[in-house]
Amino acid sequence: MKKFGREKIARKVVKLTVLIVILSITSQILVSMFPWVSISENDFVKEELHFNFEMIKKSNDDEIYSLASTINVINLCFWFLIIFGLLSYLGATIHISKKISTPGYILLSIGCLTLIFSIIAIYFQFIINGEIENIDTISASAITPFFKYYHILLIHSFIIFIFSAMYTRVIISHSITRLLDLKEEMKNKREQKAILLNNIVNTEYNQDFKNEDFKEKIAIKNDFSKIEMQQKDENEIKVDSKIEEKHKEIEQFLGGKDIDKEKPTIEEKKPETELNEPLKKEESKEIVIKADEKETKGEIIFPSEKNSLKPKDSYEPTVSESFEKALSSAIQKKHTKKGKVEASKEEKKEVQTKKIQKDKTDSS
Amino acid sequence: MQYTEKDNDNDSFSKIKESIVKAKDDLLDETFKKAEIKKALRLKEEKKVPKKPFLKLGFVLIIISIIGIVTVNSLPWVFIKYDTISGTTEESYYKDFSQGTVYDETTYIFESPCKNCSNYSKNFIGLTLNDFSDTPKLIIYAFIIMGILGFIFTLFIIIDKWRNFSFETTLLIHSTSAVAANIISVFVIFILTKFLGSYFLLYYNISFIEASGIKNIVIVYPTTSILIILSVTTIIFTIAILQINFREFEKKFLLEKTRVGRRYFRFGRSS
Repeated sequence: MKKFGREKIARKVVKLTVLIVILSITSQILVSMFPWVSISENDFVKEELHFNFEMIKKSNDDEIYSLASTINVINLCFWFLIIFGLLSYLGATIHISKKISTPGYILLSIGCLTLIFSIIAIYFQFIINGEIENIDTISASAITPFFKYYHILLIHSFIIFIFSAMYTRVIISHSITRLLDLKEEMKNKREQKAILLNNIVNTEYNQDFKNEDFKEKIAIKNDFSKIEMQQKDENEIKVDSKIEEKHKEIEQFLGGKDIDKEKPTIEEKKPETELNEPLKKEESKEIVIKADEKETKGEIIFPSEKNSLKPKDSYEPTVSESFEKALSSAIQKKHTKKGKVEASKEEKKEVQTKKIQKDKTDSS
Repeated sequence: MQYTEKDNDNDSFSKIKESIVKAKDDLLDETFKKAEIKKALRLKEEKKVPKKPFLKLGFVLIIISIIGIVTVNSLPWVFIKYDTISGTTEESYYKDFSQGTVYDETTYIFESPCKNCSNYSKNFIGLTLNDFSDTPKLIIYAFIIMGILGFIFTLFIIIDKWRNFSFETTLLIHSTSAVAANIISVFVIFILTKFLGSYFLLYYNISFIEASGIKNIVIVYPTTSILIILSVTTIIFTIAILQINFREFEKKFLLEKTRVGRRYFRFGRSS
């Protein structure tokens, strides 16, 4: 079965309904315009007298007058075809507008009645043909001996029947697919409801701990929280120590005593720091990113970008650049010393425990 | 294999690196979701309400109804020209045959002139004198209904300026009133087709009329022809309106569809 989209259905319906409406209007005009029957007169004028619908209605003869009722039915059928065709057009516009779905569907389904009325119209045309043949005195008025006027009407109504059949096919196929979709939707909804109920029964905590991803996430979170805490502490120490160190440095600078003593100590311990340099560098990078995240609330700004964002005019030349550089490097080195000593101690402990465990396993 | 400090360092470093990568991925996911939400909101804001067309249907219907009523009342319904033994007669008659002298021959054309030739029918062109009094009344009623419809629609448009109905409701009401106008104009045509049918019968049954001594008959229905033209134009106009409205809805529907498609495309969802 073909699956039509909303706009495709609407387009098809519109095309078909326009054709149905136009054809039924013309056929209705033809019903009351064309002559239906003719009687051969043999009195004063020996010719055929033609009767159209109006003349049949006003005829004195009962047999001819009886034809008026059947023609009336055909007329009514065409009226219904026009009205239902226009309503289905309206239904198609409502259907594509998505404003109100049910009246649109009702109007579209009403359009399917055009098939029934076209069949009725064809059926009554055959009936009227039979009635005309049954009456001996009259015959159907003809353009040529083989082609009669009511044949034009019959062709019209056959074309209307074909279009209305196409219309009903489109609507029925669409409604079946829609029904199937609705069934699927209902099934999905039921499944979703069942899953929701299960979720309510099993607590969220237990369910989350079953997931390995969740565990990993928690581990990462803990790691980051630790790193953040460390960074915070370092920053606090930096802020506190900066002022003191500056004071000291200034005093030393003025006195010229302790600087010379400290220099060799830094130089001596240089190789130790170089061993763990890459690890520390990475940590510092990561920390910078984290700090930025806090500032921008979720948006990542890389350190280079962050520097670019800073206003250039904010630079205040209070102390000379070389002095500041020296100062900052000294502070950093001091802190790294502390951190590294602690870290190395912990690592050593871990290595020792691992070694003991290994030895135990080997001995066993 | 010997487990050294260096290996341990490398392991811890790789773990931290992995955790950083994962954390970055998570952050990216979060930011992605936020961006998605922002984009969706922006799309909603971007949704431009299509401009309502200035709906002239009401005015047009009122004008058509006025023209129709004026033509029914002011223009002649029949113009007849025929030759008799006494001479040629030219006469135009308004509705109800209120103006002009009604000769016997004219009544013979419409109602049973041929006493000798047929017992089956009283008239030969499918029209009686009553048709010229009943049809104008019916047509006037139809045009009055059409005018009321147009008036109601213009009222709706005026109310719409204050209430500001949605684009869909205005266009749907527009198309429903167009359908109603279409049905009214079909009804008008249906009433007037008997006048057109009389030409067919005049062609076929002319010998029966001429048997009563009336020759070279020429009948013209000026009002009916104007009214038929008017109602045909209204039918075409209303169908055009219906199609225009449908296209507007289609455009809107397709626009929405493309918007949704673009959104899905941007954020990598399968539609």
